Amino acid sequence: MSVSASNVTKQFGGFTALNGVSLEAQEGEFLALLGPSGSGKTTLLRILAGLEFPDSGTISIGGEDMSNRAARDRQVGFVFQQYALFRHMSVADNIGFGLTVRPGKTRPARTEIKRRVAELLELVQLPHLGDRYPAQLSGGQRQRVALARALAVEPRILLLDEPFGALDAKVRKDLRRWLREVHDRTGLTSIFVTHDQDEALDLADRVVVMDHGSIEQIDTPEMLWERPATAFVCDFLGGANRVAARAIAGSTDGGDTIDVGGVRLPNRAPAMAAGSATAFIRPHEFEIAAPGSAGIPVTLRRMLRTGAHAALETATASGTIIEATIPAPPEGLVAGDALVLVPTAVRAYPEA
Amino acid sequence: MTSGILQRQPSILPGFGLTMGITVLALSITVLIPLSAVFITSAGMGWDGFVAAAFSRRALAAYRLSFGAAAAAAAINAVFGLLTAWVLVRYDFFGKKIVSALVDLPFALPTAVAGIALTALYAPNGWLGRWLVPLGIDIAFTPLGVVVALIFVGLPFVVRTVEPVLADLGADVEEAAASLGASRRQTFVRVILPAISPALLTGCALAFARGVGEYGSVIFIAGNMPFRSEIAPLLIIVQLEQYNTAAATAIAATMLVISFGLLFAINYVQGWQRRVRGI
Repeated sequence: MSVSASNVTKQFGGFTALNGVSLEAQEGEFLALLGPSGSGKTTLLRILAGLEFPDSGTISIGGEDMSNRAARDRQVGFVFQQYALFRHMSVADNIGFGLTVRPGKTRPARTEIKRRVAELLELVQLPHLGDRYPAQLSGGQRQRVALARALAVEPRILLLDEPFGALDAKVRKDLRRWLREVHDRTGLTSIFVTHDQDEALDLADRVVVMDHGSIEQIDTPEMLWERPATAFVCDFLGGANRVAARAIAGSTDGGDTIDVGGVRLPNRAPAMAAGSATAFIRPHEFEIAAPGSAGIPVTLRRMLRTGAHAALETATASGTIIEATIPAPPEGLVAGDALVLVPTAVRAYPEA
Repeated sequence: MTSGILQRQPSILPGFGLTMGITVLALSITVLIPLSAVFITSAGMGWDGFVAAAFSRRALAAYRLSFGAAAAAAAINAVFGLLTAWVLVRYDFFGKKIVSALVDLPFALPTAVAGIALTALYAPNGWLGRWLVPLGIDIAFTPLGVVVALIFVGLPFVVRTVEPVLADLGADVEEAAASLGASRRQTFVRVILPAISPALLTGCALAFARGVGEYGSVIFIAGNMPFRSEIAPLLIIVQLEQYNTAAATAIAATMLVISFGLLFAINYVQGWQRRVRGI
C-alpha cells in the first residue's frame, strides 16, 4: 500500500514537533526517517499509525483518507522502540493477540490462529520459543517477537520506531540484514525511524532526513551521500570536515565554483549564489602537499596507520581540527610537521 | 550455620548474619513473642473453654462481620482504588498533587477522627443520612456502616500499591494493543488488568488485613449491637472490660489463625502467578 502525509502539522504545547511535513512512500518501499532527537521523526511515525493526531494536514494509506481514523481501524503494524510486549502472555499469545481480539465474524478459528502463529515464529526464526515469556528472551528475540506480533494482523503497512535502538552493536547488524530480508519477502510498505545514518543508508530504499519538524531532503542513499541538499544533511551524515570557503558564480558547467584556500573545485552540492560559504570536505577527499602550495595549511597532530591508509589528525593555525585519510603517506612524516591539505571534492552551502 | 556458609563462600553482599540476626530479634520482640503470649494465655483455659469462648454464637457473628465487611470493603476498594490510581498515573490535571495527598489522608488521620466524621455524615440527622434514611438506606449503626468505614481506611493501600505498577506498565503497551485492533475494553481486560493484577491483589490483601484489624473508625459508626454490628476486635475489648482475659485471647487467637491463613493463601497465589509468567 502506498502511504502519504500531506502538510502535517503538530504542536505539543508551545513546541512545534512537525511543521507542514509532506511525504509519500510507494507500494513496497522501505523508507527511513532519519534525524536527531527532537526532529519530529517519531511524531510523524506515530501520526501515520494513528497513535497521535495531526493539528492539520491529512494522512492516507492506499489512497484512503485515514486522518480521523483510530489506530485500531488503520490496519497498521507498529513495532515499538521498547517492544511493548505483553509481559503476562507467552510469546505465542503475544503474536496471536491481534487475531484473537477481532470481532466474532472475522476472527479466525483457534487452530487457524495456532497455525499462523507457528508460521510467524518460523519467519522470525524463533520456532521453539512459543511457550516462553518475554522476560525469558534476549533483546534481539523480543524485537523479533514484536515484529511477528505486528505482522500477524496482516497490516497494510509496517511502521518501526527505532527498531534497533535498544540492541548492542553485533545484534543490531544481524537484525538489520534480517529485517531487510523480511521486508523483501513480505513486500510490505515499511517506514522506520532511526537516528543512525549508517542504518538508514544501509537499509532503506529512500531516506527522509528531518530536522526541527521539517523535511530537509528525501532521496536514495546514493544521492543523499553524493548530493546532500543542505548543510544540515551533509553535517548529519557525519564525518565531514567543515571549512570556510568562498563561492564564485559563473562557472562553465552551470554550477558554481568553490574556492578553498586557493583551490578551485566545482560544487557538488546544489548551486549557491556567490559569497562566503561553509564547505564540507570528507576525510578521504584530501591529498597532501608541501607547505607553500595552494590549499589549507595545517600542522600534523597525530597519525594513525590503518592498513594501507593513514588517518591524519591536523589542526589549522586557528585551532580547527581537520581529519584526512590518505593512501600511502610520505615517509618521515611526524607529528608537528607543517603540510597543506588539498581538497579533491567539495560540497558548499551558504554560510548560516 | 549461616556463618559457616559465609566462610565457605564469601558473599558480595556481606553482613547477612548480622542483619538477619537483628531482623529475627526485632521480629521476635515486636511480633512473635506478643503473638505467642496470645496462644499461651488462651491455652490455659483448656480446649472446651476455648471452644466455648472462641466459637460462641456472638463471637461467630463478630467474625462474620469483621471478615465479611473487610472483604466487601477490599473488593469495593479494588475498583475505586484502581480507578483512582489510573487517574493519578495517566492524566495531568489541576490539583493533582492535592488529590494525591488526599488519598494518603486515611493513613495519617487518627482513625477515631474518621469514625466520628463518618458517623456525623451518615447518622439519621447527618448531612447524608438525612437523605438516605428516608429512602430506607441505613448506614450508621449497621453492618453497612462498618463497610463504609473500612472502605475509607483501606483505599490508600490499593491506590499506593497499584500506582507504581500502572506507571511502570507504560502507555506503549496500551498503544500496542490498540494498533493490533483491540477495543478499549479488550485492552483493559486482556492487557492492563492481568499486568497489574498481582499489585491489585497485594493492595486488596493489605486493605483487607487493615480492615480486619480496624477498630477506631468502626466503633463509632457501627453502633456495636451484638450479633448485628459488633466487630471481633470490639468483642475482645468487651471481654477484657469484663476481666475475661482468657475469652478475649481465645477470640484473638482465632482471628490470628484466620488472618494468617488468608494472607498466606494470597501470598501463595501471587507466587504462583509469578512462577507461571517466568518473571
